[in-house]
Amino acid sequence: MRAVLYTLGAVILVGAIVPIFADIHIYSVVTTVLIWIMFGHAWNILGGFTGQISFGHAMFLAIGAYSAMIITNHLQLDMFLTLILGGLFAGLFSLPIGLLIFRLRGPYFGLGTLAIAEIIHIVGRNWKSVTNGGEGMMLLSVPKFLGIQISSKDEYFYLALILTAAVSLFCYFLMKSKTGYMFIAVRESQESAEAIGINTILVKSKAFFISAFLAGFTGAFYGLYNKFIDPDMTLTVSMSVEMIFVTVLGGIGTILGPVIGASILITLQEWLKDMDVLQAFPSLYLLIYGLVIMFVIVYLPGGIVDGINQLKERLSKRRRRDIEYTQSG
Amino acid sequence: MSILKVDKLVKKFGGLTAVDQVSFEVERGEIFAIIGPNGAGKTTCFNMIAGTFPATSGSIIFDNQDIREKKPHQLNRMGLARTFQIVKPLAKLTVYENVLVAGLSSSKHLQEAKTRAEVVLEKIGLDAYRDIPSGSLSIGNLKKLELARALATKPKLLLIDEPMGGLTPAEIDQLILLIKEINQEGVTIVIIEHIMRAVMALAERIAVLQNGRLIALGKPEEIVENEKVIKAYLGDAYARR
Amino acid sequence: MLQTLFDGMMIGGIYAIIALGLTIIFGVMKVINMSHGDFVMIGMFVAYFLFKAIGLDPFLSMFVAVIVCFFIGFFLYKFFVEKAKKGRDENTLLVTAGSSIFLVNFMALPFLLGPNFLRMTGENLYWENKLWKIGGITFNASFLMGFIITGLLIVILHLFLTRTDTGLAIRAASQEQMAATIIGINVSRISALTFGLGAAFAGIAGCVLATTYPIYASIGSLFLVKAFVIVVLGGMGSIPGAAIGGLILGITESFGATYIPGGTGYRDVFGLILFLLILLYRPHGLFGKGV
Repeated sequence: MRAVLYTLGAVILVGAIVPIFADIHIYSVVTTVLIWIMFGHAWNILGGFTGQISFGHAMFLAIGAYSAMIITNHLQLDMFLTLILGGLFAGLFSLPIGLLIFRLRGPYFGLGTLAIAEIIHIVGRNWKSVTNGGEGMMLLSVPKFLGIQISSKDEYFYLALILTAAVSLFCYFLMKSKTGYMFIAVRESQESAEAIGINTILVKSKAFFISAFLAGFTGAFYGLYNKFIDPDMTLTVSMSVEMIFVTVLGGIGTILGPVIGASILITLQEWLKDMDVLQAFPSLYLLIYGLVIMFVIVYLPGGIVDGINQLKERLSKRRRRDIEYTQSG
Repeated sequence: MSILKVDKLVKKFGGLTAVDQVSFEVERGEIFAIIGPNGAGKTTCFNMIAGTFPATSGSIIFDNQDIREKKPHQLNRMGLARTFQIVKPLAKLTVYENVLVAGLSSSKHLQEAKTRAEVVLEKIGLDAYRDIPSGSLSIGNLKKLELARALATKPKLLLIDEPMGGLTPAEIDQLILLIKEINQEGVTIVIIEHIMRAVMALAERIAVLQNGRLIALGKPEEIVENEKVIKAYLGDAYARR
Repeated sequence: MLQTLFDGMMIGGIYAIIALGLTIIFGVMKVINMSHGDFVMIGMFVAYFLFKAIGLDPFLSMFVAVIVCFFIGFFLYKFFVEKAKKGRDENTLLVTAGSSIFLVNFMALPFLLGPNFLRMTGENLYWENKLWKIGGITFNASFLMGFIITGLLIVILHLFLTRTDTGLAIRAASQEQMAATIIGINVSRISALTFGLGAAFAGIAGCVLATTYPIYASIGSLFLVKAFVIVVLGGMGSIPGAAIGGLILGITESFGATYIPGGTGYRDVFGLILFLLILLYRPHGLFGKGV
């Protein structure tokens, strides 16, 4: 129950502070952060909690984004339904893929997902009748979320805030459930998991489905929010890798991980992009970004969440030592 | 009536025959030990029974069902649990979480698994270590954790693979008592063990494997007097102890 | 027909050099270097830069490229990959993905490559669009040179691995790292050396390719994907596998582009599907043992 209160508190806080600035740019930065929190959660379910490191989640993002654009342009369904459908298509797509590649372990699983995502990327570029190829696709009508029209930056911001809170809580309660514990058992040792009666293929498929569903759901939102998508915005390896990075930076396999990771990484990116020096050298911010990633993985492999925990532990140990010292002295 | 019936079991790895025409039956409620020198094929037998890999030929009947095609998780759900010789804890999880996770597939919901984990931890005597990560347990407690996890799955038949290796004599005595207790609660036990003191204290019947073949089967006192066994195995083992 | 075959073999030879680098790194330390393709790009840049600056022939620049790539690879391993290896399996994958982003964008700085597509051209460049006709078959001159260099490199690599102490140490480390440490091999140094060597191979390929391919910062990923396909095709860590896999991919691509009408858009899909199938059903490569 505490988690619900914290989330509610965070939502109210962010929802109250951001509008004070009444700045389009800040709305868009925060919305982007929120979107990446959701992508991080999506990836984290499979990669962080179930231990299957995917390098191809961009394909689910893209399936969600493209189906949302097509549904909104041609059928004008309610946005809520559209997002759910985007997630569902991505989730369904994950099932045959899972059956195919769940026999691969560790880095090989990563390479397998990478290859499949690249195939989808090429298909996305060439299947012009559906995706309009490299030219991309425009959003042609204004969507309504449960009857409320969503079009301006601030409207998207509020909706993103609510969705992110919902997705975060969903992941939190999922990981407190029987299914969640099974995910973790599979991550820790597949052999042990089998020996204690867990059908690892089924559990991995479940995790993959939920993970792909969330990626597709968020992808659908991402597409509508941007009002335009093309293969480069949705299907590249860098989109897949970004989902990994926000999670790993924050703390892989933790609920707070994607929240912290996306907040820092995306803000850093936007901030770097805006600096005058860096505008003269457009690649400089990505260069710094690459370096940050390398340092985090090498020197803070448990991410920021783990770093904070270690710091806390060290502090409490010192305090304990101090107490013992004063007691004995 | 037997709970487990192994008939003419064979396992070949390439040209090597690891298990050769092994047959035995385990009675419901008994403690059955499998002994033999290193490389005799004991763990290979376990792996076939527990479904880790398929037998080359022969049949395995558990609880009146042919289980040769079954996967480990299916067998576990049917009531056949195992421990590993090389302990495989879920290292990052606490002791309590390890046992909790083990009880999941046999529980309807999380709460049931939680309650069960508490009960099992107390029975095994690990409740003092409840909240520490299982990766930092001593070897003796890790072996107990293996048992606790197997027990949490509500087994009818428990395969225990060398639980005593690396333990102190005091820990061995404790574990012997524990295994007897588990058995008295109605769990049939098949145990692989090198330490003869433990085997003699526990087993009602013993099967002796050598080079993949069953060379003797009977009550402990018969086994100790069996010429073949003394020559092949016990002579050396006893001389060393 | 014969022409297509030889075209494929020539480009395949160059792919093989790239794959050789990737495969020895994997063979010794089980690390999949996601920034391997970027070393090809660095090699291309070295060749381009030296040609523009002092008119050096790309086949001579090769020696400089080898040194540059070797040291970047060596230090990348020492400071990052080695430390990441202590974590989860996937950490090395992530750290080299990070280094790829770094290298690409470092090279995209304005005083290096910038955002441009450069072409290596000049009146004194012998190799530009140079064709050699041998017995009715036309060869792209620099690719033929590349093919010959591949052959030489394989021989040198083989001699190095079998005849020198360092080579023996590398092979020992690739078999069993723990045991290698026990018998006094400095596995850390050997691994860094191998990483540098692998990067240097990519650099050599870069110099060969510089005269025919456009040069831009992110071209590495193109070659990375091809190297993956080849290494998986020939078996992860296998040197002859990389050589043969390179030829197979080169010939497949060449025939695909010539004989499949409209196949260009989907051309790269064939390689990827091949890659997946082999990963799934022949994880030890076409010539290795099955599971």
